[in-house]
Amino acid sequence: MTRLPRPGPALACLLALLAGCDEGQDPTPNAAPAAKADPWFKDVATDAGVNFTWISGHDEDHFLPEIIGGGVALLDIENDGDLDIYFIQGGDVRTALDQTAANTASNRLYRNMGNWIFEDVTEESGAGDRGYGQGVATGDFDNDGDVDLYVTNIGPNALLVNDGSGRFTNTAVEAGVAHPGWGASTAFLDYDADGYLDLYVSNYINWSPGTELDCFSTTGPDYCSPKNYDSPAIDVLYRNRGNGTFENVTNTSRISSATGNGLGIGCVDFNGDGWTDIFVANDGTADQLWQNNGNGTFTDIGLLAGCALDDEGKAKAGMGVTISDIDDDGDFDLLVCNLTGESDSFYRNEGDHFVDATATAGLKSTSKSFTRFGMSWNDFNNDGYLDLYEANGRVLRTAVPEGVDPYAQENILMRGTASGRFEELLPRGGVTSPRSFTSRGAAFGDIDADGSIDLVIVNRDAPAALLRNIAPGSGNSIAFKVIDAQGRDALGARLTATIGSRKVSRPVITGSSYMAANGPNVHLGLGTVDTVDEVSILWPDGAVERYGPFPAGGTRMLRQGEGSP
Amino acid sequence: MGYEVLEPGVQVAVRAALERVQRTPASVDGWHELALTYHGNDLFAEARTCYEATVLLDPSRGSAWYRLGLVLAESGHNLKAIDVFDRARAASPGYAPASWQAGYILLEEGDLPEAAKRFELALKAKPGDPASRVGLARVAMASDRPEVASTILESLRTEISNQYLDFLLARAYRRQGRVNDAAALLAGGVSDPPQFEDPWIDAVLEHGASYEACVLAIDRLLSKGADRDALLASRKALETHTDDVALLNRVSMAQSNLGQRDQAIRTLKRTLRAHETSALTHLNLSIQYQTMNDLAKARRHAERSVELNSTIPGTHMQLGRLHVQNDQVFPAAVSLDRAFQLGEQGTDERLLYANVLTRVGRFDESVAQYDILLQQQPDLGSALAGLIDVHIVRGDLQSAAAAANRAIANAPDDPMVQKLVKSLQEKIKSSQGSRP
Repeated sequence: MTRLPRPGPALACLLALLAGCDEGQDPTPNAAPAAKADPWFKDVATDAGVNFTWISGHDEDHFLPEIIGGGVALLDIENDGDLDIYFIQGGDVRTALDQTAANTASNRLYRNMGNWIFEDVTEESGAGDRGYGQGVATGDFDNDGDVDLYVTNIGPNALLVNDGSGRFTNTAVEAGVAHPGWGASTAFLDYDADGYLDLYVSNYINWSPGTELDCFSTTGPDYCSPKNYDSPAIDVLYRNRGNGTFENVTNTSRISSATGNGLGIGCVDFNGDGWTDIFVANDGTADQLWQNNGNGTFTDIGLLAGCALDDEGKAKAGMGVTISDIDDDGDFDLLVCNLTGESDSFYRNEGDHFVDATATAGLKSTSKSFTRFGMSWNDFNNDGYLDLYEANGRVLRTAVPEGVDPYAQENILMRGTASGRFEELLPRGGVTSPRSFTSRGAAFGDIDADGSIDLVIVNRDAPAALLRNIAPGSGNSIAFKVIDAQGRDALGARLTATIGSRKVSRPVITGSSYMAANGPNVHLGLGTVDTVDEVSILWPDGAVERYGPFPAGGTRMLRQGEGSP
Repeated sequence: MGYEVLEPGVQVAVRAALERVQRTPASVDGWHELALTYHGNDLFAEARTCYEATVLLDPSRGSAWYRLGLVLAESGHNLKAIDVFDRARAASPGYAPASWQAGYILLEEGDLPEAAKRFELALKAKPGDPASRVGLARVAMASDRPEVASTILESLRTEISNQYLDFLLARAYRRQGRVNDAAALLAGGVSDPPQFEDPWIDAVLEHGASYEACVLAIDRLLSKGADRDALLASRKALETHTDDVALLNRVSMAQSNLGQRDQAIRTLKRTLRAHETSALTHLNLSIQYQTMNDLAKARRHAERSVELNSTIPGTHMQLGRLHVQNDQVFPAAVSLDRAFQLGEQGTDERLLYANVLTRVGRFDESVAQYDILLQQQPDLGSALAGLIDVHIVRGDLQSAAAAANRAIANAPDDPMVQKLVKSLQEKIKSSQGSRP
């Protein structure tokens, strides 16, 4: 192929000849308003023995799943108090729907041995599902006191039942949840408040390798947009029968009354009516807010509630989702991340509707330069204000790659402030030496139980990152393990803590970010405050209990029935 | 950047523009053209350098300043972009987009007072400018003054009909607690924001030389009804991308829109000679034959499209429609079942589905489909009428009467509702008359 001259130097010379301009001179003086700080994270994956690479299987052809996955979970598989890591694996997508073909790659489970040492226990755990994996949910769906896994694949999904010792058996077919579509993010939730965790699966598009299309970017053949396929999928809702099996209630619950290119999800009670609602971020189609009607049915109220589209009025490429009470008003706000050129969408909850507050929170311009996937609001430096981490990577090749990977982008870390505005921290991504990868799923949790939030990031065809929190000058913190009457993490509960003059609310939630499951504990940064005066829990069954006071530090167990009314 | 990574069409365009600059390096137009070529093909860093060269050579060239601002904003340099847009405004004070683009970037930055100033400046340059008024409405929304936003938008809607304006106004109403007003505005759905008048951006888009840019340009022409231009553009693109399936389908679409149905069919047949396995081409051909009332051929191509790609709801829907047209309701139900399993959501399509379900005796499922429609649009006459019909057909006159009351309350003037209510009255009368 003919190689044309590089334009930069040639132009610079011509410019110098013509106008005597200074090479690299910037005609405008403004600089990007980013704050420099010491690194908040250090990648310890290699030293910790975590050597996972999400294999896209990309060869010559461009199969869409190769650029979409995959996810990761932080969970405590054997109830020893620390967080283990479960990685979802890709492989060869051409074999994904062929049950006779063996995918050579499998999901990987790393057991936390303490002191930032992990051991790959995939083989003995039985957790090595070999589907072409996308997302993962964690939850104790059978109420036996240990956490189970649900894995979405291109093709049949897997339900990995934990026997309590960290050994798993796939019962998806018997349980009736081996959905054959393209599952993306997924989460356990108790939508009917019967004490058993149900299951929501966002489906992306109706697709098979045989229906793949030829698409192009400026650089030639590339991945398609989901819109090209014109076949958004219906999500799936499974009701837990309480006997190890599920009933597909997608039609009767009316979840089938709308489609979308589903990716990120988050399940909390947004309107405070006591029922868990479901938010779905769709890629290129309007996002959905499925309001739980309390009678087994849902209504998509996203458009009227103001969180289907932001004020720009365009269906953006909704990918990751994070949920928390960012403005201390007791209800849960929403942040959805999108494609390069499309800002994040920050929906501030006003009780019965949402307001687009993206610009005033300072989240528009920084986010727009990246294609964001895994994300979370967390107080990484424990100053009492939620920060934002976003894991990034393109979906179309750039002509000017940041390294060898034409899809790679740096991740970003934004510090939350008392004013409610976020500001980007440099070095980019909060690490000493920013490196660019095509990042996708990211899971957040206090891996070493030191009171600060760490994270793990999945990178496409590159090693996963395990980021240990080393934020300097970190404030006080406290964590809560919130256990409901069934003896499991109380997914769907709301924790409200009185910290000095502030009242902050946080959801008990694992399924958010992008195709990921976060650690289940509720973490609170306290700044200089050394006591949490009171904690109240609104349990999924509607009961409210109060606990405390608690001095800062450590992880406190809050069991339903042990608080005061 | 190495050019070998670029598409051939882009390489050719860049090479031509670059050679011109190398031949006449003092030509401002040459630099500007090169910048436009880079910009139109998303090569922002190169475009920026060339726009900077252009404005160095000719600081009075407002269009180059303006496009430099666009490139800076695209590259994430918002503050620099604002500065450059201000230079564009100084050079071309009459060009309103130079001010409102800065306004939108300031809005992004959360600097609401400065954003408002830029929108006001744009309105001075072009009184009544819709982009600036929308900008002011959005500043008002971001400043928690939805009542100001609704005043601006209500006024704008008397001049322009656009679903994005309805959407924004609905949000303003919702924030004021006017839930029903908001719901009424949203009932018609939402479309992408309008492309505000901006000839300097249009010129950038026209420089897109990649395959993707060609297809997008053709789609833009088709969407605004410029079918003849779309036809010409498609044919021109086919000179480079011979027998390309997407381009050929667009040729046929333009021909069909122009009433040239025979040519449209010939084009699609030609496409199939090169791409026999193109499901969408078979689907389009099926639709064309259906329009020509050649149902046998329409069905053959619909079946082939399903066979080739069973994941597209539209292929099953088309086959279902053809079955209905042939009065074959049971096979129609099978096809429509599949279309809806795959996520078909169209209102007309769901009405057809519900009707077919009634005709095959799947009454509960039919009611469920009508319920979905009525949940989305409570006054949808055809769905209200369908609900009466399903109860009449299943012989449940009591439920039919309840459905009729609901229909009369929500859509009393709908002719289908009136017809079904009359039919129900007759049935009730005859059933009462036949009592012993």
